Amino acid sequence: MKKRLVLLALAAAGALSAQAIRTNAGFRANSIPRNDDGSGPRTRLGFTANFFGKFRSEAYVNNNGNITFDNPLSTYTPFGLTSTRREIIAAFFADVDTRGAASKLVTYGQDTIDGRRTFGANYIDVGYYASHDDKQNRFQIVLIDRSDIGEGDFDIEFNYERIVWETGDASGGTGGYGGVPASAGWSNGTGEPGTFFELDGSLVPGSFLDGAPLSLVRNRLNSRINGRYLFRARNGAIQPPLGISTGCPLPSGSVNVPYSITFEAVGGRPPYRWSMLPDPGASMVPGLSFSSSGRLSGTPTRPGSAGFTVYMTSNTEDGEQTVARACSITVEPPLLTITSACPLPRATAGQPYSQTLRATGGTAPWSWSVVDAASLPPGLTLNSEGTLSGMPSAPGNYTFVLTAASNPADGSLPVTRSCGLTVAPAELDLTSTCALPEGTLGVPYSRDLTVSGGRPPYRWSAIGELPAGLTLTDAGRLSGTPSAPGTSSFAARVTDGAGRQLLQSCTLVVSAPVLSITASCPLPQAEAGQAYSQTLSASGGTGPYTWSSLGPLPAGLSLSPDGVLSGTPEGGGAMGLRLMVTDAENHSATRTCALTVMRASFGLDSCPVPPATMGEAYGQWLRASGGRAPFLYVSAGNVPPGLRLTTAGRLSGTPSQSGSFTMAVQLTDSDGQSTTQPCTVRVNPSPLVLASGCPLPAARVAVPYSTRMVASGGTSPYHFNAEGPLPAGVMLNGDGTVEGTPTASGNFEFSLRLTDAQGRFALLPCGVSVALPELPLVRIADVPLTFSPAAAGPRISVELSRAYSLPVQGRLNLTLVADTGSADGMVNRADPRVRLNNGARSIDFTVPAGSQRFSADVVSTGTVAMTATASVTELRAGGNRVTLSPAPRVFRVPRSAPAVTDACYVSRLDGFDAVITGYTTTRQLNGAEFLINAGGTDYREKVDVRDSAAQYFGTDDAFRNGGAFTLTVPFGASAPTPVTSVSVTLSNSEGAAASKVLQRCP
Amino acid sequence: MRDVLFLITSACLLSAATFRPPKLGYIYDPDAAAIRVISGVSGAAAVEETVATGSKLAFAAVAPGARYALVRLRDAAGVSVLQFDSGSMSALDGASATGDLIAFSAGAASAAIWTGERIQVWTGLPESPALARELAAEEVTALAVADDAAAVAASTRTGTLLWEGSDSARALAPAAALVFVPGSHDLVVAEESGNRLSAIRGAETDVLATEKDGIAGAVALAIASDGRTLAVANANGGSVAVVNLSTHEVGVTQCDCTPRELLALSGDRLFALRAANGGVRLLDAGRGELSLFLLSPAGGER
Repeated sequence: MKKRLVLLALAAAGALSAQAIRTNAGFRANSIPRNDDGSGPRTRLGFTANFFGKFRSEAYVNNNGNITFDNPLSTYTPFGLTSTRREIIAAFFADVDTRGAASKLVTYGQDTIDGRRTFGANYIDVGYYASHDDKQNRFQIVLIDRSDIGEGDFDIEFNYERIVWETGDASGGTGGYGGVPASAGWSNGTGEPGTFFELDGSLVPGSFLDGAPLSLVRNRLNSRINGRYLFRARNGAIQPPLGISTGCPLPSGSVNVPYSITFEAVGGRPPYRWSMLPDPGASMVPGLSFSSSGRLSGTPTRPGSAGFTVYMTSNTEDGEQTVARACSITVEPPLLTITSACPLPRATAGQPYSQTLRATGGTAPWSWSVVDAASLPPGLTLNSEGTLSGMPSAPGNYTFVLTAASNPADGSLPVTRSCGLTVAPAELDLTSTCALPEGTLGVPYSRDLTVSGGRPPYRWSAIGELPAGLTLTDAGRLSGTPSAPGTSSFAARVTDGAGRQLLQSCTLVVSAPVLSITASCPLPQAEAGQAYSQTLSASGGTGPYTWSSLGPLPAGLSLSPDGVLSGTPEGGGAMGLRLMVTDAENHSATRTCALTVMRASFGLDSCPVPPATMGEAYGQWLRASGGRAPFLYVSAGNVPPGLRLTTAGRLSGTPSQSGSFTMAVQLTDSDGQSTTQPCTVRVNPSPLVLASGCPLPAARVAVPYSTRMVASGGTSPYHFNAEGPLPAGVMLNGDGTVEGTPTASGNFEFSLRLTDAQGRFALLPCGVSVALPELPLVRIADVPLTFSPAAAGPRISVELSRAYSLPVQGRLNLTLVADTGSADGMVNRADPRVRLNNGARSIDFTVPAGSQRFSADVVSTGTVAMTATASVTELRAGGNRVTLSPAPRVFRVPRSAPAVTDACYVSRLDGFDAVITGYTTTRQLNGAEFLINAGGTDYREKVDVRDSAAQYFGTDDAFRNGGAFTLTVPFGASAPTPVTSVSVTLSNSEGAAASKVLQRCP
Repeated sequence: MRDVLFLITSACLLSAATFRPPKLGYIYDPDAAAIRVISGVSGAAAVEETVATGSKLAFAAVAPGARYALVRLRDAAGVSVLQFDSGSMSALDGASATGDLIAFSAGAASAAIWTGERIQVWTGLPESPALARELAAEEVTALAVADDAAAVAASTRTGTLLWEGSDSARALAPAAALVFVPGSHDLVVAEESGNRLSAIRGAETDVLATEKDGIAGAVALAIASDGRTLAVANANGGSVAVVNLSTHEVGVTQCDCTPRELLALSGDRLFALRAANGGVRLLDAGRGELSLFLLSPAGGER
């Protein structure tokens, strides 16, 4: 029940100028002593209060502006009361501090109001933390017994007269303002609805202060007195104050859409009377009206916003009261929607189509259009009334964007919607033809019957007798090898997917084959002087066949009746042979075939020639065979660029292009015999080399690196691969790019495998050196030159002049040289307590990449005079040793007079032991002088401790403690006299220590 | 020196002066399962060699003033009194063998041992120990006993119990740490939150310091032998606060650590502070300025 109410001080409600804070003397009967965050003891209320079902007759008054029932509360930074687990009633929960001299104390106690038992807690003129009293607040919590209404019923009053601070220093406040300021309200600590309440402005800086709109002093609740806030606890629950609970602004409405909302009231008693006033200069949205029952309803006719204030009047325990709430409503323009189902109903090509589109929202009639008229199916149009109609002509799936617009006066925006429409193909007639070409006996036959229209699938069958050797498949293929000549008639029946059938009469003629010569022409070449034989072939007709020549044959060749052309041709030349074949039925066929008789073999016999290499000189003789020398060689084309062929047959020059070249060489012998023959010469590419050179450009650790290797020779493109280690962080891409960020320095040698497009490769040695980035300066930061003994030592820092991209590592060393002034090596030893904070005299350090400093503390300066030197060794950057040598830093612990850190005595029956603990930086002592006051007389006792000290400081036990010691000096008594005091002064080579009075040893 | 018990007319030196290394106290080293000597002087002290006990320790609590410790040996049952000057170790007959929550009175003559089911209150320590009383208490998290052993306080999960003379306890709010002021029944309580210190004197409660003063997650309290210097280990604040119980003045110093345990040493307002990581620091509240010194760890470089 978190209510943030705007409390209006309405003139009509009749605010009184009476004093809010009650002045009952009983409220001052007890006080909490000056304190901060304290509480009074558990105290009796004087009556029983039913606080959400718990009957409470005792409470704690807490200094920080609140009363708690469960335990005292010392919390000083206020928490929200809407979610607390504490039982609390807080008029001004903030860091009240009454320790300031001008601050008054918090008081509390019992009294009566109107004859009713009452408990009050006064926070009158209280200051704030820390002990501030420059501003003082005045407020009060009063609990009033109302058991006259019901058992446990009571009233809670928060009374305010001055609120001039809101926050203590410990809650982020400055001068009493800001930070986490006060909260006010109550809670039973369960967090359940209706069990907590927080005044509007709680925890909001400035809200509660005097003069602010939500000022506690100027506003009021359930009361006519400004500054008084009254809550009524009835039957275990606190009645909410009169208010309007409906949230504002109101839910939005829409033009032409009926709207209705009824305002809700809390507190008070029905009936509630409602009224409404538009904001100055504003008017209510047209179409809406407000009733006295609090109902805002109607049908808005125009979009827009309206601000107004709702007033509600009701009877309460304090009489008739009116509350108000500022409110507003927004009416949105109508929202158009195209409601037609999309895709639209299916259309059929060639069939009339009409569909009326529908929309809602806005004002009818709507105006329709299509964004792209060409996107509609051909033959259809959309008119402005929303009718899509026409005769679609082309099947297909169409998508188009519809637009509907309402009357612009209603403020609505046009709406679009993408819609689809499928135009199905027309239902077609089944038509077929059966025009079959003639078949030939014994010759494979195949023909597909066709049909148009109808609906697939189609199924074929034959009615009647098909030609022998042929079949008709379901798919309509008539095929096979006719086995008998003649004419066949049959019917082909086709059935479509819809079951419709069509019969088509078919006729197929199968004829006998025609006699013909099938031998390939021209006939294969013959060579003069070489045996030749070729069997001729024919088809058709009726065997056997008889062959003959109708003209002359080449000399030396003859044709047998069974068709064999054979013999040994004698001369060269080409001629046409006129051949004839006759079958058993005396049918005959003729054909002319060419036959060339070649002279004896004549040509090049040195091809292909040995390969050349691009860019390298080449020379090679061609050789001929057959024919009669000398021969004449003439290039007929495609000589490799850079080479030439002499008439004597010398192919020479320097090839400028790689590849395989097939030259045409015309060869002529002395008899004039000539032939043109191919001759192939391959020009190999030039050797693969790395044109960009090696080693690669130098790199630096942690610096991005990129370079590209360039190859030549061979055939591009090239592929690069490294065999062997590249610098860590760097990689070689196949295209020759070397890139990455090196992480380690050094010289890196690797083999580069360079491969060209032909798969040829070369292994090339290569390398790259990686250097460290430029090093920053490394130094040990200054330290003071001198230090006191027995103190914390300096912090020693290794600093870089700038942040470095790699970690810098090393060892920080602390070297000590004792300076006691003693020539005795056992005495002149430095204090082993002087160590770094790792317990040792050296520490390995790392300054991380990007950082500039490492620090180590010297845990103690020890108790021995000495010179300490801090130095850095083993400096490395990114793991690589570097040669920088930072200058060492020196500090000293100078010699000084002894120091006594503790001096006490231990009593004995016959005297006492003086026990003195301290240190001497010289590791020697001269004497101890005691001043004993007994019976008013001073006794001065000088003790020479030189020898015993020298003996002590020469031992290893003493060495471990540097210059520290505990000296025990026993004293006896010869006659009784009261001792008043004993003091001691120690001296060494540097002087005497201040006198120290002995206390009794613990 | 009004409390000097002997009389002289003229002082005379009985024998030669003797030197020995200075000793600030002792501290239990759980890693070594032994008690170590803290030697040196403030500003130049170190945790040194272990005290011979003949066997490793399962637990030890060093009494304020560093005269003795209550120890449990790993290989023996029961609790023993180890006196440092003589090196003698004697069984504390009847003391629980499992107790590891032990509180000493400020003067160290009394101790309270929680056995897991009850609190044993011992007096006459270390020379003439006697079991004075046993009090029923469960789930004890903090313990304190007054010098006269008549007042005992124990914090449990449900609240703090305060016995003053009788066997019936007074219930207080739960506490994070407890200590009695020397020579009194005034109880200093670190509230369960650890952010507020109060002194309970009879029915009155006096707030000594709050988080505003630098109290931040107090987990341990110790009072120096002067009876007015209270050291507070702030686990949340990584700091140590020192409260003057007479003036309520509070000083705070950062330790760059997570304080866990405090022990009053024999010197003038000196405390040993053990951090969560095991490091030991020397808190010197007797200097003009509150000082913390990291003690060189045992076995460091010579």
